[in-house]
Amino acid sequence: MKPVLLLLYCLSSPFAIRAEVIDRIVAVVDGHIITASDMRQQREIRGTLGDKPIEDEAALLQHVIDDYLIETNMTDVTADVTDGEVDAEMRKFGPGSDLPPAKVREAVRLRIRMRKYFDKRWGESIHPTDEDIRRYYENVFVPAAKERGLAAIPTLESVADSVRNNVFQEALNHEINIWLEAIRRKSKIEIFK
Amino acid sequence: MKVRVLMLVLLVPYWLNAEQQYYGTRVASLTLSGTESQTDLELLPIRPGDVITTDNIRSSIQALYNTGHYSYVEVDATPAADGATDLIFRVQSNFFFSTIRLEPENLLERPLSAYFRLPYGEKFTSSAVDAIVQETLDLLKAEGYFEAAITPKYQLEEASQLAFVTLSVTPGHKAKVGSVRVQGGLQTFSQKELLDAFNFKSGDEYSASRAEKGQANIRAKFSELGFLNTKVTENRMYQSSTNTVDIDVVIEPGQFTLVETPGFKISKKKLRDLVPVFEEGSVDEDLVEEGRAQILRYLQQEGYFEAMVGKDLIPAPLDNAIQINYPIEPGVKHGILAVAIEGNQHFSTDDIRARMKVRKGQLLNPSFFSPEALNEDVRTIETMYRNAGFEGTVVKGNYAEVDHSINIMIEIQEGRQVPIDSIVIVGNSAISEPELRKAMQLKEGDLYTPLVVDRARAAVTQYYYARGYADARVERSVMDDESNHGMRVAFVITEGEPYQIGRIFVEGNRLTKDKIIHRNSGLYPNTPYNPEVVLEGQRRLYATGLFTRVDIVTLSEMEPHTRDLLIQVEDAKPILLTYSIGYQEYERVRGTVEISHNNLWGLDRSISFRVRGSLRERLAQSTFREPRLFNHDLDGFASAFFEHTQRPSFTANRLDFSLQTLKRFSPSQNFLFTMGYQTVDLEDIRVNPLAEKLKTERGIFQIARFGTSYVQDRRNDPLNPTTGSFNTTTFQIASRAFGSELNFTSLYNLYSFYTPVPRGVLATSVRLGWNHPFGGTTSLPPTERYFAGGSTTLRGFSFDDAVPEGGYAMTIGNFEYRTPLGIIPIKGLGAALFYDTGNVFSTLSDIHLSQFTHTAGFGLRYQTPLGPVRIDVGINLNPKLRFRVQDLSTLKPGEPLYRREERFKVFFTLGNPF
Repeated sequence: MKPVLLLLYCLSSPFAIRAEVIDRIVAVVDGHIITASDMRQQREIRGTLGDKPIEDEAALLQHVIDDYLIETNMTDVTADVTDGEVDAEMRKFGPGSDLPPAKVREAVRLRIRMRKYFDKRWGESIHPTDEDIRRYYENVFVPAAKERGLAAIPTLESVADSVRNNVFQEALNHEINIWLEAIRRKSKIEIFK
Repeated sequence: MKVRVLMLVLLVPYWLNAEQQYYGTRVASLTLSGTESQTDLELLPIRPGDVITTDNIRSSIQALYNTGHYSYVEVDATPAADGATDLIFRVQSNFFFSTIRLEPENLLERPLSAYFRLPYGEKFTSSAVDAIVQETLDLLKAEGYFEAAITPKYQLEEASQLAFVTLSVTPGHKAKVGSVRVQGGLQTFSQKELLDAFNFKSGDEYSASRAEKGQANIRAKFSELGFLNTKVTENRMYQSSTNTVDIDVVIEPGQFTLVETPGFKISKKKLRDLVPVFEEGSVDEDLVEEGRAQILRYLQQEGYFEAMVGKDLIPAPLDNAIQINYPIEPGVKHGILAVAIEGNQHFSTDDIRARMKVRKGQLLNPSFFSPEALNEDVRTIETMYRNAGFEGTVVKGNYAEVDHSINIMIEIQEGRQVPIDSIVIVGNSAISEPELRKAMQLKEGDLYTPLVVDRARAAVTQYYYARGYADARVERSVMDDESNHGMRVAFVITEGEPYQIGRIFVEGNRLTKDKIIHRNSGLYPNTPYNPEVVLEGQRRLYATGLFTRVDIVTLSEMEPHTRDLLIQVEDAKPILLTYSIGYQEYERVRGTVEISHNNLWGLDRSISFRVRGSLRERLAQSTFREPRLFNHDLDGFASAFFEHTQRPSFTANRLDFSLQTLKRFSPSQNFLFTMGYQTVDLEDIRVNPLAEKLKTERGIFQIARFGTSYVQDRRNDPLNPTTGSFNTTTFQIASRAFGSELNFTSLYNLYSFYTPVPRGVLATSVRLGWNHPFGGTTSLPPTERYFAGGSTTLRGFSFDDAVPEGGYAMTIGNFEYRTPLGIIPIKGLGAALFYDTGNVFSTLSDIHLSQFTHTAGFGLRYQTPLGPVRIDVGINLNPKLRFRVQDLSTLKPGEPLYRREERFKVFFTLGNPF
């Protein structure tokens, strides 16, 4: 019996030829294709730029789609990015991956451009009030601190600046999400599983 | 133990294969899988022998996607000899939406395409199907199917690359209305009045469209009372447990609005027409100003040329009412003495006056003047000259007051027309310049006008389209050539690529056969793709009357320079039931009912049954139509009818069978050939016993005849023409050789033409008819004679009364001036002045001017969608003496033998006289 099994094993693997999918279209957004290699590249870029990794393929794909939609729709407000700004941002990151530097620079430029666009489009009109800060402190910050088991919860005055930033960011994210949702509704998105 | 070690050793290559890096290896071979043709491989940036990188693989995927042939691409790699790699590009072809059907089909009143746009001819994607499903679900909910569920099914056809989508609906039960409550507006109307206006009660089947009508009814109620900006919203709450919809109607009545015109009285009805706040249902600054301008224009039209109109908005303290005051200082009422035009040579004074707003008042048309209107007229005249190619034309308008009347003077200094000095054509390569110059029909030396240059541009564009250059663009530019005092015209051409029509698919037809659609579209494979021909194909298919919707869409380019077409149609309901009612002075009320099947066996054949009845006539008729007789471009008709008719001079029953062939030369010209067999039963002949030339024929007789007709109809509107002409000539011959009891020939011609004239239309009609018995036949029965008199021939006589016994020859001329009746502000009301002349004669040789009757008259017209309703008063200008009775024995002693024809006749009827 054992020789037979051995023979079967030799025949089945490792010399059997298997086709491997090395790249494919994973989604089409308004006629623009997103491939598996694009996704791999995005994952590496996120790693290089210190972003929190997204393990779930579907979630990563949504990020890539969002990035494309944002890039193609942020045309109504000028948000130029200089090489100097890109260089300054690049210095924050380590040597990173095997990706060509041009691709990393391109990704960084896009991120700076997005940030500038969001600030100009909505950020300049978001001004958290003291009441907003106080409400955030009481409803979000304090419960979170308690949940983390902090012995001494910092006072509002001591954390006002960071709370203000959080309130600002939440308001900004809210505007961005509404805008993005409207763009998604009018876009043709096809995902291939 | 040895076996285990051996197994482990053998597993190592397995693991190595799983991690094999194809990137960095060389390409051994390239294959395209999932499509028959391999030609797209030539577009790939990667080639055998190249090193495989992420970039060149991704670029290859992009290149294949960009062809438009594929919706999906994946790249499979397998090891080849010598460490190289075989690459297989697996593709899924694009499919295109062909039909999208709802099952069951009768769930909605109309097809889906009538509610929202369907992506016929577009690339098939599952997300597009999801969007259609969602829209359909929303639509079904709006129609009351809140429980509806849809399962989309699709069938993808490889050969044609068309996708057929069926939306299988489980509708559930239609929701009913639960409770209806009204909130707001109860200070003005009672709850019951508002609920009645909303017209929805508990237990009714719910539909959003009916709810919208109810809201509109409520808004109208408030608007009638003068409330503007009334908001009515419907909040519906669906109760799934009972499948009912509770409706809350929330009313915000808006502002009560009063409009006053202190200083000048204007009727409330007129104010509603002039001030747009009522029509728009809201009050804002722009609408109030527009009201002021309209009132000013109205006053100027009434002769108050110096009127001044202000505006004041006065809100009421409670903020739910507003008064708009238009204080008016009318000034003195003026007339217009004259509108003189001097200096014009190229355009006649009448041509210029026809384009002007300022005018001197005439019968049935009031005068109009204002300084603004005069300035507009000056600009209009300048534009007329500019469009005629005149440069440097100066037009001045002045007016002077003379004793409360105004003298207006327009002075024109005509500029000069310039020639085209040079024509330059750039950008053409596929078509030579001499060809294009011939096509544009414009040459150096022609007089320049913007219109001739635009026509030349359009002609060049059409020339390219006809050769398949569907993307051709022709821009034109015109410059002053100062050195030669002429114009330099340049045409810049972007040719694009030529295309041919590839495959033509027909989908969506359930009844009509494919070959009928192909034939009527006029589109053929392997012919130049001309977008105008495609549009014409759509128009031709609509013109058949067989379809409610026709779309012709271009599918993606599958072969180079080829465009496949998809003709997507929805069959119209083939069975039609129509009924109509009319009125004519002799027949009185007449009703017609017709049922027809317009698409027998899906072959565009039709059969109809018609019944018509009136006080004097009963008709039953059946007609079968074959649209392609003997497979030629000929319409064939087979018709049978039975008719009982009572004319003033006779009563007849007729049974007729006929075959006709119609050849259409163009939309306005056709030729008809007829063969007919008729049995006529004449009775109760009532003719002048002293009219010896026309003997009576009584009883039953048969007539067999052949005939031809030519019809040319160039009227702009058959029901109410204002320009164009109508010409018909008919020749028939009846002979014993065909089995007829009578031998005679018949020739008839009618020619009408319509000419626009100042403030109206001059309509003219001339009719000639001649019937000639021959070969043993000495007289013809009344059914084969001409009669005149009545609302469509000679309006000084009753129906058929000009010559009661009829005659073998007829000549009639009608002249009518038709004009809108501006003096009475009722839309569609018009007037007419007419003159009718002519008569019926015993023979052709009896035609003499001295025997012509003459009728003058006037009438009123009111336009309806079916044509004008008219009242005509005809005045017989030369009434003659005629016999009072037909049977002399009925005369009483002392009674006169003759009477004079009546002077006046009044007709009330529908339709123009000609």
